[in-house]
Amino acid sequence: MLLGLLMLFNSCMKGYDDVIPTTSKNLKDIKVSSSFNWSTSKTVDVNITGLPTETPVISTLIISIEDGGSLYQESHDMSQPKTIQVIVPAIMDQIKLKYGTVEYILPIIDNSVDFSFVPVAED
Amino acid sequence: MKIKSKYILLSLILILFTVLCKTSQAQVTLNCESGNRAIEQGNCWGFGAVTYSNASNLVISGSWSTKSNSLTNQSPTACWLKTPWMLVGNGNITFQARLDGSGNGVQSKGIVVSYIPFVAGASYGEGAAIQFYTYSFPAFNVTTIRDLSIPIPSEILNSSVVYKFRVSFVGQGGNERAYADNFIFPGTYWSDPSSSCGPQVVVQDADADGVPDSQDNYPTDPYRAYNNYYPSANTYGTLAFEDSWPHKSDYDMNDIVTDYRFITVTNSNNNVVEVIGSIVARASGASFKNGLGFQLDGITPDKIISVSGNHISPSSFISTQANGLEANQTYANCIVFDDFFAVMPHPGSGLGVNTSAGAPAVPYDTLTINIKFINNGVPAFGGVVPIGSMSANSFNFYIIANQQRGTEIHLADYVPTSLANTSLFGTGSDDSNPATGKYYKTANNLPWGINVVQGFDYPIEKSAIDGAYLHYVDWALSSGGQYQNWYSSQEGFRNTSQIYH
Repeated sequence: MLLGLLMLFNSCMKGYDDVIPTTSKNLKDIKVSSSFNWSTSKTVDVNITGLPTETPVISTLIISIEDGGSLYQESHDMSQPKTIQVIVPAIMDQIKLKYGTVEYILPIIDNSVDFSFVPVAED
Repeated sequence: MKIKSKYILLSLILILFTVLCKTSQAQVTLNCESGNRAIEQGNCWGFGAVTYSNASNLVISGSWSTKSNSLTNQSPTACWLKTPWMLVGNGNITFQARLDGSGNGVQSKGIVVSYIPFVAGASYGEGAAIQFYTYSFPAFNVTTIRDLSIPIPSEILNSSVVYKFRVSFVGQGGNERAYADNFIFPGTYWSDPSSSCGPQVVVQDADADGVPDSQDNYPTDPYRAYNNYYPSANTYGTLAFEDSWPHKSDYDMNDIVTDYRFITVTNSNNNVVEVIGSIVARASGASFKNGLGFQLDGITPDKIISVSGNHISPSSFISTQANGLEANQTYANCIVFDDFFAVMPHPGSGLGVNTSAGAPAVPYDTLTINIKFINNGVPAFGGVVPIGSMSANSFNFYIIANQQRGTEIHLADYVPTSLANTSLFGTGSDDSNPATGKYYKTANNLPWGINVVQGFDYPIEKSAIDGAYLHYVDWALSSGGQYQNWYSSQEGFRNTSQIYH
């Protein structure tokens, strides 16, 4: 009986050798892209277009992520263009931008967010 | 004669100056030359069925004028423009207007002017409009430019409360449109484009730093204003390193595990005042006495006044300069601790601290690092650091393996410090190539450290990370395109038996 078990075991071992996949997903065996930086975050450029104002308008600009976690704050002149870099989790597809008392939810497209203080003309 | 002429000239200048002072006052004006009414709307002007036109034969002056829709409605709410909120001055409202001559006769075309009081809680804050002036276009020479001069009602002259003016274009029948331009409303602009175009309000600013208390993270501190967080105000990130570099590792990613959150405090000029780092030492599955540090890439040491809160032994292999930064570095380097086990001592059994299942758990230790850039309004010798010069990407984390200063191990593709032993590049399993910007990766581009900005539960001792996190390899092979949440606790993502609890 013991011999039978040994034969069965050998047979299993032989079978195991046969089914080792040709493309390993073991970390020690893989090769990843040289451009991959192993980061779980991404750098997003927030591009702001200014609005020419009749009088100087300076208020606090706040950039935060969906859960409300603030990332960045500054005193900002509404008439000035600016690009601000923030780091957000790679999985996020939108940010929140607040200026003064008004908050906007903006999509992240190709690691970039475009925002203009010039509104869309409407009646 | 020459002296007499000079006196006469000076007298004339004085008279002219006096007259100008008496007659000039604040004005709220609209001349349409932006060519884009959205800009005026952004500045809190309102337009209803009124656009801008640059029709050369109809523009009143400059390149642009306002143009109404066809005036077929006698209601002043059909076709109008409104000023922003303003404190009304005294004198006359003036503007120019014409019709475009496209109608069959004038047929009751006109202009109605109203003022609108502010009523808190009303839609747009606008109370009921009060009409005070009407004008009817003459039936002859309909395209002639008319100069209108409209006295402001006495009840709102020199107001201490805000009003809007509404200029309405009305009519009945035909396709006639009205063009208007060069609006002058005596008074002071008093809207706030940053607050949904409500009236400006008196803001409280207790520390007089120019940032209203409601927006100031430090309302009573004139030297501080804002908190900028990394990773975010609501999360800690996790750094996890292998200490075997430049040699292969077991990929359990727990030789040093720390959580971090940084607050970059800025002032009202958006300059960095201080960086407050909260570093939580969690685990070390190593026998080496490993240290942890970070470089602020691009920030020279002379920009920093002092460093405190870090843990460096008196007899340390780390040399520091007077301000507490590491000495002999091109950029600012803060060594958080020079020996993990000095911060979190070994519990007496198991390998390392908090990586061996069944070994006694050691409570986490939190170090609060303070890096001061400006002290009571006075910057360091090297000058200020604008917040734009120091993003979260500036934080370049590394460990120092087994107290060998030159053996520093960074996250993938982050540059070494001035004290790194670069002769180790390309040895063992390391495939760094400074010429291409490749650092601290193997020939297969595997790293010795990771930064999980959302936080991370690390594997137990000798359990490779890909055995603990079932989509880690999928994430890597897709270059981060798939399974961006590989670290999450959702079903099918973890082998919990291989994760330290």
